Amino acid sequence: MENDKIKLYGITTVSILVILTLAIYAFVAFRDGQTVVPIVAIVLGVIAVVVGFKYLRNQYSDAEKGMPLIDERTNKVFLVAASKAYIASIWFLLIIAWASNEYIQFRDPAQALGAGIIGMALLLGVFYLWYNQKEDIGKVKF
Amino acid sequence: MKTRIKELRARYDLTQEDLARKVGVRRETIVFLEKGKYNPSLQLAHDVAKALKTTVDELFMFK
Repeated sequence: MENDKIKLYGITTVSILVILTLAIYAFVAFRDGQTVVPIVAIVLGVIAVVVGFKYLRNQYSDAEKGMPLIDERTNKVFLVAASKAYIASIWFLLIIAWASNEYIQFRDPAQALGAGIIGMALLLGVFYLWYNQKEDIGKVKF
Repeated sequence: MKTRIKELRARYDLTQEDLARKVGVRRETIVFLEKGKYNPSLQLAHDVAKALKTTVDELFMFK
């Protein structure tokens, strides 16, 4: 159980860093005169804060009650979510690549890479939350 | 799949949280197991049956 608490502290720290990165990212993009990228970053940041806060609060509460952070079901959920997020990430990166020519002006390749990584991380989170509440995880088709 | 988890849990006056702690899983796993919406591993089925003082074939009924 102590290991679970350490893992939770780690997840919380990484989440705070991701949110701060999104905030700095949005601020710098606004300062550079961009509009689409910072608005998307702020919307994603707000969603991540709301969903992440609820998720972490439940996890801390369960850890206090002596329940594990991960069990065999959540392990299966994570495997399904990771494989689905992998496919979705390919589409996401293709859309980013297409949109970067048409609609989004990235400052430099590093900013585009950052957007890609944050998008992939958020996709994994969304798929995890989706499949975690889905009944009968064993019947998900690939 | 049908289960007698809820019935046996009530018999031993255990909450879902109590059973989850006893078996070492998350509460949602017990919720899904009770509804027959999660196929557990043989190990988990055995652990739940042991916690409820019964056997796997008494606890889980397959159609």
